[in-house]
Amino acid sequence: MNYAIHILITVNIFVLLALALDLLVGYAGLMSLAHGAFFGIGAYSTALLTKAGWPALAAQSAGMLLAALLSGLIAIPSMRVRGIYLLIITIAVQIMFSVAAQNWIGLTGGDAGLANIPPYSIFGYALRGVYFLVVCTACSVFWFLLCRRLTTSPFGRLLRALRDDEVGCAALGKNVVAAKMAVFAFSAALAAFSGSLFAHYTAYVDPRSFEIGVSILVLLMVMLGGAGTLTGPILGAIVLSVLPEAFKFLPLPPGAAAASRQLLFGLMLVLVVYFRPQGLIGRRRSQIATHG
Amino acid sequence: MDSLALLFNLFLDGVATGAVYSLIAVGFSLLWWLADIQHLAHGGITLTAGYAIFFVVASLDLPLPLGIVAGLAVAALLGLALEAGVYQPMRLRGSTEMALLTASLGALIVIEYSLTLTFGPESVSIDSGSLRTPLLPDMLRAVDRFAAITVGVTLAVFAGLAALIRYTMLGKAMRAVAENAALAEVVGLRVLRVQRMAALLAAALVTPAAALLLYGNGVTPSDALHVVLTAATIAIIGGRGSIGGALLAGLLVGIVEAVMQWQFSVGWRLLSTFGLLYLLLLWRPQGLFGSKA
Repeated sequence: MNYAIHILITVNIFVLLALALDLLVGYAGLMSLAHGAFFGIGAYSTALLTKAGWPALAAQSAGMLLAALLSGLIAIPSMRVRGIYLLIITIAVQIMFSVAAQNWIGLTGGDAGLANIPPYSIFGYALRGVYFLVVCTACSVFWFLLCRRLTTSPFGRLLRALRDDEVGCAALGKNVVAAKMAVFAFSAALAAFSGSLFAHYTAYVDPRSFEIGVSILVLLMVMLGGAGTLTGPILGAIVLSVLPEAFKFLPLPPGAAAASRQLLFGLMLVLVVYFRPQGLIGRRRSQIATHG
Repeated sequence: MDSLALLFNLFLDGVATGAVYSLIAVGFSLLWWLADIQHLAHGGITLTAGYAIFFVVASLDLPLPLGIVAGLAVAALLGLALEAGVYQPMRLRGSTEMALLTASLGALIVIEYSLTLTFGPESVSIDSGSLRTPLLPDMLRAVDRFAAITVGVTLAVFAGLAALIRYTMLGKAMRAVAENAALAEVVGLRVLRVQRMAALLAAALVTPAAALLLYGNGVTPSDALHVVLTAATIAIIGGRGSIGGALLAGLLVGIVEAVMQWQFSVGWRLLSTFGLLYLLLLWRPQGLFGSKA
């Protein structure tokens, strides 16, 4: 039972991350491999602030605000560059975060990490086990509905237009700069929200949980399920957080199990974009959009 | 050793490291220029070449030239297979830039973990023996025969590559394809073939770098991403398709990383590379020596 709860909480944490990245990758057409860093910012903010006596919700909000502000680091260069340049900038931010988390020992505890993070609590009630799962699930549903509202709103239409033809968008008098800043800030804040839940759940944070591998895994979830849909990345998050558990039951030596899991992830990434670029449940974009 | 001598030694060490970086980066830059591919799997090819050399020289106990041949063959095959089997079909189908990047990232992960499963996660290296004895032990400890070989090989490879691109028919065809692929096609150049040749060349270029890594700090499967990130960084700083730019940017990054250790601990080294890149992209997205697209 506890094992099932553990898996379901993990699924929820990744669902939130996949939703956050999908807004960028799927809707706005902006690549990011920095979501592990924003996830980490949320987790470290929660760890440091709740240990300093802040209430959980306040610490979580502070982390989201910080992530939204720092997302400007990526949003500002993204005004001028796309594709590989943007990808490398996001990787640069991700790696700078990891380096800081490992080496700024006074703040983050370095590789030893920070332990004894109190459980998530609302109005003084500490939530553990199945209660925490219920809260996480409620959060996922809430953010899913919010993202759906957002993507069907005029703002969501603007994001898709931005993805398909940025110059055309600007020519129609849309504020491209503000739209990009907003979507980055929103996406980073959502990733930090998820990171905060993660920190409360594991009660312990260290740099390894937020390195670039996490960013890649979340990208894989989005691409596998179908970028540009909201249900697709959720499906991707569920498949890819449950699948590794299956590997634990295979009779493989410890190192080989982790390596073959990563190998499988990489292979899936190639096969999905090769054979089904729209993802498992995505729809093909119209021909006009792809040639535009 | 006093502080200034240390700085000078770090500087020279950075030159040798940077030379290896630029060997890897130039292939990345070449393929980006010619085929519009951001070839992240390039890092995986570099390490595969390293492991091929290691396998032939250390496990089979054969002489190094045979190891280099094996490294060249494995790298070239892998590079060609990726270009012909993955990138070209996707490009012809009109895949987006993001899909190509994702495929390349996936290929990098596949290579990295195939190596882990075959050779284990630990670093492998070959002892370079007396090559590492400093030539001037009193003052310049960074100057040894290994560093001299590194710089010499790099300069020779770059000179060869520059000559190839400038004087041969293949080089001419490459420049034509990079300039305007549609027009090159119209005048009868076989664009796909030229691009496959470029992939072959890019993969072959990593072999000397892989050998130098193997005899230096060693190669580890988990380095794959770091290797290609450094290469991509250098290709961007140097400017897309600029051979000389890749060489200078490689040296620059190598030197900055090494000199950082003068004042900061090794852990912060990566910060300097990516901090440098970040500032550069804000200021001059086309790179130091690139022209505006």
